[in-house]
Amino acid sequence: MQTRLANVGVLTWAALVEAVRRKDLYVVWMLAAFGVIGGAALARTGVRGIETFTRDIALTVVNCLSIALCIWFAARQMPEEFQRRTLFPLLARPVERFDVLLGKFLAVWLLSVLALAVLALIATLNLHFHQAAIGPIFWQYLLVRALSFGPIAALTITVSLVMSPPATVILCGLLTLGGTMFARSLADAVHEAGPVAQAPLKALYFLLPHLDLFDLSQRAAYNYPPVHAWVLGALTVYALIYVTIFLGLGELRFRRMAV
Amino acid sequence: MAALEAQDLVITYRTGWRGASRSAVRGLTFQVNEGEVVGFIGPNGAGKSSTIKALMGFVQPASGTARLLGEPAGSAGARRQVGFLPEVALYYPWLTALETLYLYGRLAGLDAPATRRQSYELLDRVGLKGREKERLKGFSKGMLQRVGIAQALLGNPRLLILDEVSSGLDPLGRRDLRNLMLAEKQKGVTIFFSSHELTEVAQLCDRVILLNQGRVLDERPVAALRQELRRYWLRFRHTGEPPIPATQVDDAWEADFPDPHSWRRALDALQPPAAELLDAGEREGALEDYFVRMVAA
Repeated sequence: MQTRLANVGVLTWAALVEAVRRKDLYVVWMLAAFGVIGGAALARTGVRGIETFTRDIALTVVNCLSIALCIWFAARQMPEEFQRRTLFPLLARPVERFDVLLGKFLAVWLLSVLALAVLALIATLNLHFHQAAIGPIFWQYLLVRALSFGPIAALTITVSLVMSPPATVILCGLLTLGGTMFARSLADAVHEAGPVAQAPLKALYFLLPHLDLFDLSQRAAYNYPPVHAWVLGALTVYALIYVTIFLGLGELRFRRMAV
Repeated sequence: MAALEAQDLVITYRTGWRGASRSAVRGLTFQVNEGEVVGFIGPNGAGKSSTIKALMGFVQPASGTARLLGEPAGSAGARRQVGFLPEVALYYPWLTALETLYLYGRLAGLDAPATRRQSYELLDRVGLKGREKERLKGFSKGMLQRVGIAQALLGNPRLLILDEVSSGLDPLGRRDLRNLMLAEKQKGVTIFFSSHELTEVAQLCDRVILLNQGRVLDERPVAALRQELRRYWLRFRHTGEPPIPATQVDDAWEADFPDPHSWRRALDALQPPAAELLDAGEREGALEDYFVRMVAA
């Protein structure tokens, strides 16, 4: 067990070092610079009473960019291993294929959290320029967003084992968008549907990850009181369940793959 | 104990959605003994890389079995004792040579200090001393191959499986590789490698296995092969048709023989004044002649 953890650790380290040195995060730094400059310029216009609007915009930007970066990071990990043929010397070592997937997953998750931290810093600076209050819900929002990267990264890595990186990005982008924006509408659809369509819709409702649960941006925009700790605990468990399911499916595919 | 054995190995690849498949290896059986250096040769598409992939557990054979050092091929137990060099790997361009070896060393089960120590030693042995901390993206193909050889040697494996080992290496690199492999051989390491460089195969191997169209075409010790390929020749002038089979080249005749006895008989048959012997001798046969003869047959 200790050896397997060490293997996962060293695989994560290598993927992280690669991504950081490859300047994958440069796009985040550039967005950060634009964001800070734009926010500061807007603050200088002297318009008052737009704190909520500013918070809403800032958090929407953080949401979209952090999720896009997470999918982008995840979609290229395994295809690059195949393309560069680096998988051969890796799998020639006494390493479980699942550990390779787990190492890649952790690297993507950590990288996404790092990108989120940078984007959050921009958002914080912008809110500061506009003198908009930052309550505890903002930090909870960031924590929950970081949790959401788990299912998204695991899903993307698994899909990337059967599809090309561009197809993976498009499909996982659409699935994430659907899981965030339309998952709740599915419950309404279940009520409205006829008896034949009800069962599959209900199954879909329970099978698909409800990524909307991980979006506290509206609450943070309106500076609501913080959510209870048990909610955060439940969301952590929920995220872990989907990570396990998606990585498990990835393992099933990867184990049978000829490399 | 056999270091490596394949029994009736069949490898097929699916080529379409409807399940159409193509056989890359068709009932391959061979064995490599401990301490032996065996060259795995054959034309492109003969099934060499597929066989090596099956030995490493990268592909599942459709049928048949393979074992490395007594362990099932692809098992963690087998992989723990094997050093593997893949055909043309690019490695991680943003990691340094040292970091690359650190990654593979740790995965091989070495602890951090041992990995670091062995990495420096091996990079020195493959001629990359002083370049340990350079990123691989700046390395040439030959230098990457050297890094690959170093990673294969990490953890002192008992069996080395090397796919297209001299690919991308310049003559100096090939000489270094040869010395390195000979040093490993001296230590008792079993080496199984595929290569298109037949001169190298002849210099390094105890035995060759010739593969064609997924089957073993021939298998024999290199010493016996050398003997078989050795040619005895003579060059002479002759008035009229010579009494032995010969080819006319300019104003002389040339003849060659597979063994010294027929050569001697031919010499006896060439008597003056009709015959005038110009030159005679023996020469090493090239493995290439054998390869072409066998594959073309």
